[in-house]
Amino acid sequence: MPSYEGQSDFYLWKGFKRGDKNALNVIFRRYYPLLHNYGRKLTQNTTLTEDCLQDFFLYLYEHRHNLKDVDTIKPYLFKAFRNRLFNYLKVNTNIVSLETIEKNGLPIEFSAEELMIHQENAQLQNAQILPLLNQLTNKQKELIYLKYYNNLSITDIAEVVGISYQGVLNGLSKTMKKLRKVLAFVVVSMLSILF
Amino acid sequence: MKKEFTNLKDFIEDVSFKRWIMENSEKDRLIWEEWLSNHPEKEGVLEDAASILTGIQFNPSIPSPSKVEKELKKIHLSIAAKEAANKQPKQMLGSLRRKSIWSVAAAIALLLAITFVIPYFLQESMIEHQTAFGEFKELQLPDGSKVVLNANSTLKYEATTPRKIWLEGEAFFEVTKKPSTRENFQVQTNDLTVTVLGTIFNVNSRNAQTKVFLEEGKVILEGMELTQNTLEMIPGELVSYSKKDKKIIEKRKAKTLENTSWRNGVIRFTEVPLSTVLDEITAIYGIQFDNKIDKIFSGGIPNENLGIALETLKEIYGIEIEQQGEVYIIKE
Repeated sequence: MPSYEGQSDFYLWKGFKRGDKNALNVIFRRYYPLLHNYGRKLTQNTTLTEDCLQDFFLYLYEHRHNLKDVDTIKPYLFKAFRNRLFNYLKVNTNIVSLETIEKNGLPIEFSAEELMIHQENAQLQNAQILPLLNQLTNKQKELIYLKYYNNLSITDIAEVVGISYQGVLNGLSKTMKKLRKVLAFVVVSMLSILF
Repeated sequence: MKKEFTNLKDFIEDVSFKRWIMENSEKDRLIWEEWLSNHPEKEGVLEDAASILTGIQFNPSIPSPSKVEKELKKIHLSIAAKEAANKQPKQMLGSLRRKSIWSVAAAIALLLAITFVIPYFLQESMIEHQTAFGEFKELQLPDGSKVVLNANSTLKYEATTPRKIWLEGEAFFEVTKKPSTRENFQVQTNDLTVTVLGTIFNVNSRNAQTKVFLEEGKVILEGMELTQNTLEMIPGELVSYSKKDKKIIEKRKAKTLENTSWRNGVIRFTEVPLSTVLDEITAIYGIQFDNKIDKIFSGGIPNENLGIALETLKEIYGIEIEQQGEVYIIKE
């Protein structure tokens, strides 16, 4: 069994496409937790997310010969899983239509426990950030989620969500402007030297 | 700095800018202080870029490693089930068309044999057929006898003596008569030799014993280290002998179904302890169990699909089967 320790995503993905179960294990262990969180964020439904993830990984394995070669697995999986989740919702629930989801996105909710506490006034700050965060549009929330929760690059986010680089940047900028007041601790303390 | 900084992207992708915002580097701070004093109109966009880079820090809530392992196991089971399901229709097609496929295969085999294989065989080579865990094969021997080789089994014979078979594991035989040469058909295992005179029977040499079930005809068991070292079996009889213990473990009338049903993809059990069922699964799929439950089992277990086999056990007993490394742990 080849080891994928320290190997690039490219080879890991090649191994997966060859049907190597070890590559499947590595990819699964690395990305399942993140996709699990993504799915729960988008649907607020753990059972549905887990069913869909089983379905998704089985689909990937079965169609591995037809998957494209990728240099970075993470954005590819996020995008593919997002599409699969939307289709899954369309088939398995009659609450949402695909058109609505594509237009408006899915309502992500952030919780207080998820906000990293790194400020002296953390509690106060979190209390202020949270309502602001949750007031954002679904699409804005998803950008924030992908960028800061999952550390995806702007290029990667553009691919996952299916909008342009500039579109992602504009969305993030608009959002951060709104949050600026409460995030002032971080940003202003850094810029106050200047202004 | 010679580079133009006009929009967000210019700032966000700049190494020095990132280092200043993300790592609070003193050197870069001085550079940007100076830059901003020369471009005061860019304050807004710079601040924007800074806040995008700083962002919000999250503490992701993710499933536990054991949960991930559980879900990973489910994927492997689904893959196994899919692969088994994909194999099934082909086999059914095979049985409908077996005759024509056999004749084509025989013709090709003959052609190959004449050109390459026969000269090789003449040097007393061994012919070997093997099955992997969870796989079984139908074979036709050179004398026309049919053999179904169960999972995790090996069948060998010398090219010159195709009616003297050596078996490790389990196989079902339908032997053709050979009145012209009167040559006996023999199956040899670690424990004993089964001599056949045109018949249908099953030999299982797993678990340090050899179990022979005779469906039709007549077989003689030889090589048993007992006062009487040959035993003639009658149809419907099951005899089990262990060379290690030097004794006949079982000798009784048995049902055909429970001994030979594995040929149809299902192993049948009638009121046997769970441990016997698990031993059988170990033999077929090569997995180990740690079992602390004592229960009696009756029913069928598929022998080509581990996932379904385990699910069946879970369903029937309402037990938990948890994989820990190489071992499957059985719990209430």
